[in-house]
Amino acid sequence: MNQQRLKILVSMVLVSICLVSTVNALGLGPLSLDVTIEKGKETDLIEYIGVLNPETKPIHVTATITGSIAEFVTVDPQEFDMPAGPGIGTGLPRPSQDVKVIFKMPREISENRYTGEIVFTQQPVEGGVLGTAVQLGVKVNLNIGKMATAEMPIYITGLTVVLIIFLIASIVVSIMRRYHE
Amino acid sequence: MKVLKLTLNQKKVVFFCLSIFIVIYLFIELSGLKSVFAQYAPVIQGTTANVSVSGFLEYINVTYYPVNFTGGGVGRNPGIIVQKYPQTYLIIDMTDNTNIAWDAYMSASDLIPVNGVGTPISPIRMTVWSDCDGGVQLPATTLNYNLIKLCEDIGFNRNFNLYFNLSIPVGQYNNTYYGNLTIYVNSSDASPGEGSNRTWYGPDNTTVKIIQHIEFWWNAATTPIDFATLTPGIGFTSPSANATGPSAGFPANMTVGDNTNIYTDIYIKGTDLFGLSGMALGTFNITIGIPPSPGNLTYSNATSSATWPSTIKFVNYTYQAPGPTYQGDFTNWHHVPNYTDVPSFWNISIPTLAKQGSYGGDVTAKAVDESTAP
Repeated sequence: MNQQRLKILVSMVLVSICLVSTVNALGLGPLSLDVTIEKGKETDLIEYIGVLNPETKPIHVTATITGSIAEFVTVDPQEFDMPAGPGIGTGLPRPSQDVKVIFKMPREISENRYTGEIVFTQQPVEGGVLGTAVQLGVKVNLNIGKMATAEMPIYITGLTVVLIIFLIASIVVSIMRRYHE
Repeated sequence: MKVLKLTLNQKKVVFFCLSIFIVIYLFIELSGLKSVFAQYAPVIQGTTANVSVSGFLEYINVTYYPVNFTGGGVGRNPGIIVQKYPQTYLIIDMTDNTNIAWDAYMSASDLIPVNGVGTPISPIRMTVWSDCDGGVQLPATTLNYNLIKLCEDIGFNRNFNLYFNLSIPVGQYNNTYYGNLTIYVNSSDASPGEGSNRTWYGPDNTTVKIIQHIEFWWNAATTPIDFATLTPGIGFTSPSANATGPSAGFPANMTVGDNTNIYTDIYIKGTDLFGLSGMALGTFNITIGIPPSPGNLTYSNATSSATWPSTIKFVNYTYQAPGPTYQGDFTNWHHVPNYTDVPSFWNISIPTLAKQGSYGGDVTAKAVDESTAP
């Protein structure tokens, strides 16, 4: 019995738990990007995401890319500071930061659908242990389509048809001459 | 052939006459009498033609329209100020037959949403200004339904650039909007009647596309979410504590901001707690209760500490299965039932044999388009 009590006393060491938190805020749009790129074509495509700060203090934002799109997609800037905004409920314009989303597709990529998300996380500019964070994300659907087929100009097509007709006609005429001989 | 032969006397007379002529000629040339004689010379006179050219304004010439605020991407977020794109200005001048200086005015209509979904954007959200190219420059001004003077005395062969800003209203619904633009020119030097003023109409010449936007605000607290000092649990009787009070992270309000223009869902998740002191304290799970195995950190949307439900301590109590209009919970993400102004209480239970020390961790909240995965 005494041993049991001792175990209890030993295990009752103090544990302090602290989740550091501050005000967190973030605005974001668009919420999705749907991109289709032709297979077999080395492509550099750029889209833009707007990040807004509604909070009345500067914020620090980081962007991370998740999912199968991460192989082909980069963002610029990946990490940035934003000045203080007017505050929620004021109805005033917010400071915004355009983030460039770059799709860099190699020629040899296979026909497929790649998905993922560009996640923006707001963190306080001041240092310290971050306890709470606000996240917003942009869903990305990247479709690699079939290889583009070049259309032949109409006059080339017409010329080809005429040549084929002449060729057939000449063969028919030569056969008929031999037949009459 | 007859040859005129003069006698000697005749030759003398001719010589004499020539000499007299030469002397008189030289006298007139050298004495200035030529100008005196000239005034008595007969003159051929014409009539005077008086021509009066009236002031005339021909046509207004506008380059680089429409006034497109959409930008080069998929559209614009609400609650920001944007410029015309891709060229930042219009060029306005008068065609060649204009021969007088002129004043320029402008008015604009509301920007109306396509299919009527969303509220119109008033023209007073648009600001214009110009250097007026040597004319009298007026201050930057907001547009209106009525004509507003932008420049005075623009030279007849000059043109000016006109710059535009649009302050997109906070929370403006995602849609494409179109509005009309009118430019009016007149001159005090113009003759009355046609040519004394001109108007250029630009139907649907102001446009902007607004995209979906979420604004999310978590006022967790200005102080840490604090559970003070706890003792480890023993067996199944883990001690627990609520984070309540202004010094312990209460209240934690999650708010979808007024710049949001779609319906949203809010989710939260937690990380493991780890030792802050750098000691090998190990970690323990505070994942916020994935049903059927709730974690250590729990959440309730009770409205006050007094109503904190003693029997409801785990997030899984509020778990809802996915349905036609409700996405439910996802792996590691727990749905926050109400999407706005949710006071949050936090409760933690300490596992048995947790080592002494200070622990910290993260809780992340995420807002998403309604019915999509976090």
